[in-house]
Amino acid sequence: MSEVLLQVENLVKYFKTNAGKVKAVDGVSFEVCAGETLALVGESGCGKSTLGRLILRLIEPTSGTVRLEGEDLGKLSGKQLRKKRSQLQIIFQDPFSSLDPHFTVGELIAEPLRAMGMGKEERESRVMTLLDQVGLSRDYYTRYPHQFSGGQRQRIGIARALASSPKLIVCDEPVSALDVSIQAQILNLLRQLQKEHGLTYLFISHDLAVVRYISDRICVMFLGQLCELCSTRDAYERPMHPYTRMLIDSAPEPDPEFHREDRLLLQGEMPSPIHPPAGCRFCTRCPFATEECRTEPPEMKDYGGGHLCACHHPLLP
Amino acid sequence: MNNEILMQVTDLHTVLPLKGGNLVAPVDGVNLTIPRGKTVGLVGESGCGKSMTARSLMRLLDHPIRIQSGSILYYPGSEADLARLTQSQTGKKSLSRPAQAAQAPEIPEIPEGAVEITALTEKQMRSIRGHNITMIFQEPMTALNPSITVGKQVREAILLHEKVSKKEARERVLQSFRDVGIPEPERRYKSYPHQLSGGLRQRICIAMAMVLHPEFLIADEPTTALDVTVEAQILALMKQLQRSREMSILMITHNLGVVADICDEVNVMYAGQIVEYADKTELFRNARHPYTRGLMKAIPRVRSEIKGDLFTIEGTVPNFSDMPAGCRFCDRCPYADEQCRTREPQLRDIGGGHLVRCFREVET
Repeated sequence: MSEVLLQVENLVKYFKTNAGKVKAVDGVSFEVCAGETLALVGESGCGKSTLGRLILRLIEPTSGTVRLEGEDLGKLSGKQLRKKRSQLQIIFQDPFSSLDPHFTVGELIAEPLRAMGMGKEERESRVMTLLDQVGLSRDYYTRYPHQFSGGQRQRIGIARALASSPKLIVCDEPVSALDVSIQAQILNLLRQLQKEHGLTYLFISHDLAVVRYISDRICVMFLGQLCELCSTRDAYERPMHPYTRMLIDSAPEPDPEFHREDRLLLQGEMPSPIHPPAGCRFCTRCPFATEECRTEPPEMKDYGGGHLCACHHPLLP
Repeated sequence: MNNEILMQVTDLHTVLPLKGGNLVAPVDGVNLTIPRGKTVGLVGESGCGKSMTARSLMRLLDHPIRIQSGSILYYPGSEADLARLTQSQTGKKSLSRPAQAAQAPEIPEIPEGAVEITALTEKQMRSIRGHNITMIFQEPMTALNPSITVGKQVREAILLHEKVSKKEARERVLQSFRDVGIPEPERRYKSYPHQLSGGLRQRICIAMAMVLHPEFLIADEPTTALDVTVEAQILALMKQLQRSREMSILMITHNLGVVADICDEVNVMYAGQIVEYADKTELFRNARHPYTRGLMKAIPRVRSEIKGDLFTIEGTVPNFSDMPAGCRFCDRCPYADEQCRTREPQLRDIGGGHLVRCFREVET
């Protein structure tokens, strides 16, 4: 295993609302190694995007720490943080709202470089290189985002994220808004860039097919907490947490001859993040839940080979 | 009543007039057959015209988009509906907006037992929508009125079409809530849309669509905005409702997984045209159009590992105002030759009712 790039420890984020505290992220810990792609999967509202934003310190955590190469991001002053941020970038889901329509493509991609204090000429040549790298024509430099399709805009967003030569890129549902044929182009580009630049990705997605293709390891999240963390192959072939198994079983398979008799499907509704169930948060929807699950929150346990699972009754192979 | 076919769409052209008098055709000569009691898929990427086709069938087009020509024959399942809808068709021609659509003079005689949707008055259309043919949409939040409780909204559908008391209508709403698996229907009746989850909202929309027992449901990407776990529940519900009510469904989607799960037959649409049609098993086993094959190869899979790069379809969908002269897919097709760039291929049967719009399908 290569060295640890990012360490997240006991991260907590509560949002105050009129109805009470929403426990969006509630005690999450994991590590991301240099050069790997760690996927963060879960249903909408599970806190995966909040977690991504906490890591970038776009929002302040309620408690807990985020360390990049051993350095606590929470302890950095404004100036130091800005410097450190060149190593942390994000690609957003919606390539329409994430690009300012008043800027040209060249200006958009050069923005992080300007923030770093790079001179004009150097910026220009860097942007040209970046355009080449993401497969866009250099002529696009002076054009505006509205002239481009979704796939091309996402390439612009990727070029901007790459501009400051970051170590870690948080990809927040980067292909969810794209059509199938364009999605494949962008996924290939992300993999190719990772190889060329030794990038580390934190890949947030609800699409289990995309995640299986792109990630090395997977974190499964439910209602603000992690329930399973393991290699991608283990998650799909030997899931331990019932929720992981159900997520995978729910995905429709593009093959009419695919039938699985023992398919586990999720029933019921997502519990409220303001008043989550007392024991295991998944207990109200879990077919295997017992009294213990309803009262005692399960601890994250290591089952060997880096396979972690928080469940009183894990599915064993 | 026609026992086999519910709707027959022939050479449908839906157009959008542009500034300067030009027309573009997001639906350009579409043929569709909806058999009774089956689920038909209409698959394609954004902008291919699949939603516009669906809206044309319901005549829910926003001005200035209109049906320019073509025929949409609907065979009602009940004699009463047929009588109600054919009264004025033989007599005076309607003069409302869609009548312009029907101005195409070459519309052939309407067959026995059929109703020509493009020639109906707006009033007649209103009596069909929700009652005979119904629709559900991708975003259940925007499909519902945020300021009215969901119970009242569904009740309204009944009161619009039938002379029943409010109390009786309420009972039927509650029954429809139970039919689509909404827990605590009495409590949910009084909920506003924002108080419900996405999955529950879509169930409300389905309940509203189903409450009058229509024979044809048009579902426009009904699960795209939902999580996979909820998607699986909604698809299971649709299958169960279709079976118990012998309904026809037109399933509009971009997701081949959804198609494999729920459809009996599949139409693949590209740039305003149907490029391939086959029954589901045949299509997944033996897709012949390079676009269909490309789509199938480009998707990553949940249940198998893919090493190396994903297959991609190069380029992007052509613009409607700037279509290639020959085959619309030729600029992105690895097999395209001179013929593909100059002549437009027609849909042809390559055996067993499998239709392909391609000159070079043999080589794919």
